[in-house]
Amino acid sequence: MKEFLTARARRILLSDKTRLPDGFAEAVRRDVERVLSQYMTLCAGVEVSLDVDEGGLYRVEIKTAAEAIVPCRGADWEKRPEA
Amino acid sequence: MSNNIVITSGKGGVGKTTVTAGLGTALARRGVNTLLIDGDVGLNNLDVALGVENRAAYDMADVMAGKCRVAQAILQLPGMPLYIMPSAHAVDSGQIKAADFRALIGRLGGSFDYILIDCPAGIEGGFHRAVSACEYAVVVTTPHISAVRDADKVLTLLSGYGLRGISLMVNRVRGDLLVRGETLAPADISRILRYPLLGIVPEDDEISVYAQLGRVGAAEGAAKTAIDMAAANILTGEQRIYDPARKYRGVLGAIRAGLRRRA
Repeated sequence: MKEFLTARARRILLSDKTRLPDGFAEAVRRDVERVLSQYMTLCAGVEVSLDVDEGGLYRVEIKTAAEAIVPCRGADWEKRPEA
Repeated sequence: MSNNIVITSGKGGVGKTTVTAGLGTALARRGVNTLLIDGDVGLNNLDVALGVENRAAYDMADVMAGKCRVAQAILQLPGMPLYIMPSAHAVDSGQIKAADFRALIGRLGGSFDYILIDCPAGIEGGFHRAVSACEYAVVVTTPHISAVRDADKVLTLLSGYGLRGISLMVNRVRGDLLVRGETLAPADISRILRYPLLGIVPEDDEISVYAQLGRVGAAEGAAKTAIDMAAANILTGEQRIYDPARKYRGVLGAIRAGLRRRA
């Protein structure tokens, strides 16, 4: 319960600090999932966690798992000029 | 010059006035010349906590208006170098300007080692008036998420004042809940808010009763011990923190916690 309370307090404070509207993290999660799905076959849901570090920078952690890379649907790599 | 400390909180009712009175008493008991100022204009309670509400003939507003000398608006508590300047209760808070308040604190600075200002709850004009006259701030919170949230807002505001030091006092901590992990731990609150702890004060009926009686200084319970440790930290710069969970550890502690839960 202690961990739950601490995490809840952190979440509320983060939400205050970033002034994020309700559902912001969910919107990011959905978009990230949509983009990643263009490149891989995801076999787990996408988890997005947002935090603010001591320097005030946003730390974004994205966690998911993919079972395969799919043929490029999102970007046409073959047409890219060589570096 | 004195060390001026504002005792503030975001949320009302977290025990700010009791902590101010307790810290002042603890400092004075160590022989430190301490002045307490009630910055809560119009909603003052520090005089009640110290039992001097009937002794005040003049107050802060009278000094600022030139109706009396500074010394006439300062009351000494018996037996120790503890003084209090009552808040203005007959004027509107907006009539006391921050610049005038700062000037008053500046005038008093030469006569005291420490000036503790009991800041009004919230983040309105009274907050700015009290904070702008100080170099140090102590933010009082309880281990409840709503209080921590409001403390965080206050800390964000305080960070813009260029203070020399900001620390936290976590008040009304129940040791039995702490042992069982059923409350926010003060160390976690400190980590979340990113400011150091000055002290942890346990939930203690005795100090609440004595505050009602106007005799905060006479309390002898665990809260008094904890506030004494915080006062020592102010003087020494150390960080000796009271452990409210100690008496709830071990076999006897578990029995005590069980009895407390049933009560």
